[in-house]
Amino acid sequence: MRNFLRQLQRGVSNGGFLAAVALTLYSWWFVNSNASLSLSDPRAYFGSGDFSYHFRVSLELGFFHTAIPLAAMLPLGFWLCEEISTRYIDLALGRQNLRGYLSGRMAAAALSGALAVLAGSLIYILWLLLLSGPASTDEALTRMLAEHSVHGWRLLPGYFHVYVTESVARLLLSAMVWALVACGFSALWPNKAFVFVAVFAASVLLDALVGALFGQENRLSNLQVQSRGLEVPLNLAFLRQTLYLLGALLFSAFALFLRFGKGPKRAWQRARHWAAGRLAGGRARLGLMLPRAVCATGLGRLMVDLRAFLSVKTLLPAAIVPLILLFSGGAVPLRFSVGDLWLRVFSGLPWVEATWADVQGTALWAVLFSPVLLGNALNLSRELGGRCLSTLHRHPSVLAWWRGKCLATAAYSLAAVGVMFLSVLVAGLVMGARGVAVYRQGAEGFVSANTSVLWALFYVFLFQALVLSLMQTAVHLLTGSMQAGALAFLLPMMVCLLLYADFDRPRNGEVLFNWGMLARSELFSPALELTGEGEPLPLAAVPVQKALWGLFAWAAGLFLACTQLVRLVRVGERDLRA
Amino acid sequence: MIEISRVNKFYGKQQVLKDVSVSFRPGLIHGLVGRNGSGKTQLFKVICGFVLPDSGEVRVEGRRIGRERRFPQSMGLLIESPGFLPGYSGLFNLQMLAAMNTRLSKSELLAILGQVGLGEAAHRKVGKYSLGMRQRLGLAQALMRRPRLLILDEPFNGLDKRGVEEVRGMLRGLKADGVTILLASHNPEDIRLLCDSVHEMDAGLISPMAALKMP
Repeated sequence: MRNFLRQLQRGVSNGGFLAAVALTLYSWWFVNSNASLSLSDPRAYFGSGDFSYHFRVSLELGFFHTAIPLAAMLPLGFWLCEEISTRYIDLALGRQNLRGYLSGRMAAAALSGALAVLAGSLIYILWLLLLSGPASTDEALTRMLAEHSVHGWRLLPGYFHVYVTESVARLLLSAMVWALVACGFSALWPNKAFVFVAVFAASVLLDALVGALFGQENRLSNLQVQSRGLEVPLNLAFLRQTLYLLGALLFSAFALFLRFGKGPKRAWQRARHWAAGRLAGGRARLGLMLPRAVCATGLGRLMVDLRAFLSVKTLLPAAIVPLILLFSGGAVPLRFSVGDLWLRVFSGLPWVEATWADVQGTALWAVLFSPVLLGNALNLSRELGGRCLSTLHRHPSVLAWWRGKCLATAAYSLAAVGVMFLSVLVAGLVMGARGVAVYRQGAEGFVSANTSVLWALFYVFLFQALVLSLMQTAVHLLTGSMQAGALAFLLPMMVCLLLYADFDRPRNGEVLFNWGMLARSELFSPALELTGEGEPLPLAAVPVQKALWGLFAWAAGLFLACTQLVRLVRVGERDLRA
Repeated sequence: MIEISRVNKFYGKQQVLKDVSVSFRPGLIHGLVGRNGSGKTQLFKVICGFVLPDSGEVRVEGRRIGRERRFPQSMGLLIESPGFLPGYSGLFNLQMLAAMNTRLSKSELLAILGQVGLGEAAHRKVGKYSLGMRQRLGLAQALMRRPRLLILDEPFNGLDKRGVEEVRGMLRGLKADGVTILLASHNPEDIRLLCDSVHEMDAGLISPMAALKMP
């Protein structure tokens, strides 16, 4: 018990807990992000509706689908990564038995994740209680709402606190699920970047899988915040969430068994021994293969950086994730080309006359980028960490050292995007794709093979990956935190997509380029409808040429800024323990 | 010649180096002793240009570090635990580091690995190395450039008795070749057997030591 309480104290007293509270708070606040009045005059903005109205709207249109898995793992989800990398685990296991050690930390991780979500929710509820207007007097309307909703009497005035409690409890249960899943992933590969990406990807893919197999109403994201038309009665929702919790517990227990169980450990050692015996010779012969004349020059240093950044470990996820998304997107038509598959995976969110933000589409789009995020996180943590002690002084200046890392990050983004396209190409050829080009209607109305669309697709996707990577690099350098870097990659893209997903067409056009909306561009969605004046109405107002130039300018500007940012940071003065 | 004059370094309100002035003559082994957190590593980092002092200056071979040169020109460095790429062999890691600022062939690198006792483990992944083997690899990366200045912070950590003897012999050989060595160690025997001069650091202050008392 004392072990558990000590761990709980550790969970609620770190920076990750505060970040999780802030993320939860932002999820509640999300619906107000479009209204500048919510910040400039919150009293007038929140006073225009009563507590129940604001609470329901904030809950239903919140950012919880993405935020809860991330927030839940931040306080203590990485404990195993930290304790293995610092070898603290050896000290801890010398003082207590394995079962006590694991159970105390798992319980504390789950509870501190839930407490972070609770704290964020309570702050927002308090905010609403202080600022929202008096309760609605339209009893008939409230009663009608209650009668037509699965929430029933809990929405009635006087009982609304039950609805609030129940809603927050659902969020807490989900948070506990994802905190436990984070513990499981930590056991599989104790690497913070991997755990961060894996939990996020699992939350999206699990939703897609459950939605397809067992119905949309059974998705965990729907059980935590019920969408209109997909409501589940309270007792059933809690029961299903408990099943998810049980599943998460089993998954993490199994992953921990794989790490700490004697049998799996022996089998793993035997497999590694076998692989090492076969690979060692090949590795020794291959070497660095760098011409002697290039060594000790700027080019030589760049080649070394590229070799360190482009490893199998960082490029493998780029080959796998697009395939998962390709095969989880439903049936492939009988006749298709490689280009059709590329468009299917990389062309972004389809146009919908959305009244709600396309949360699942946005999340899947973020998962598609996750290999690049993961690779960058691994590379940057290594280079800004212990390896800095053996590489920094081999460069003429810190600026030259960092420029090499920025170039290598850009090259890694290019390589990762190349591998992603290549893996879909290989899958397409294996599946019997007919050619590469897609068939599109030209200006004269004739359908012909078109490859320029695919080049545009590649460039737009590449530049998006590049811009996001550079933002991640800049924040990672400035903060020295891998998690902050990862958030700098994910959040701008997701917030942008969610905010603009419900934009009407003219306003959509005001955005120079809106991330992930390639499918809405003039290139992929030709104008078919006509306006009242008989003019073609573009399905989306994303001009591809303009977007490409915009992305190029932004990538170039970010790259130049990123190379100079190292002047603001004293890299050598950081704690550089490996 | 390394000349450090009136160097001060603060981290927030904490002063880790207090008016440090000292000079180290070339071609000798200079020892630095002191308790944990006394400022030894910080002083080494200031000399090698990783940390810039808030006031004062460091000159190595007449060049002011951080101004005229960012890092000393010919320097080998082993501070804390240098990070290697765990998925690659010790030789490959050395090849990558060597390519940054030297032109050494594979056979020369294998010879250096042999010198530090890693000849047989040259092709093994660094991820499989023990603590002592990683320390030996750290020494190898510090030595491979044939530096004129060698900065070693606790180089004997994790080494077995034979390894300690081998490294001591190696350092004596380097001194004979005219290499200046700065050595920090908690083991009085290393300091007594190897060093020509010894300085003690205590709470950021440096003072010369006449002789070391053996326990």
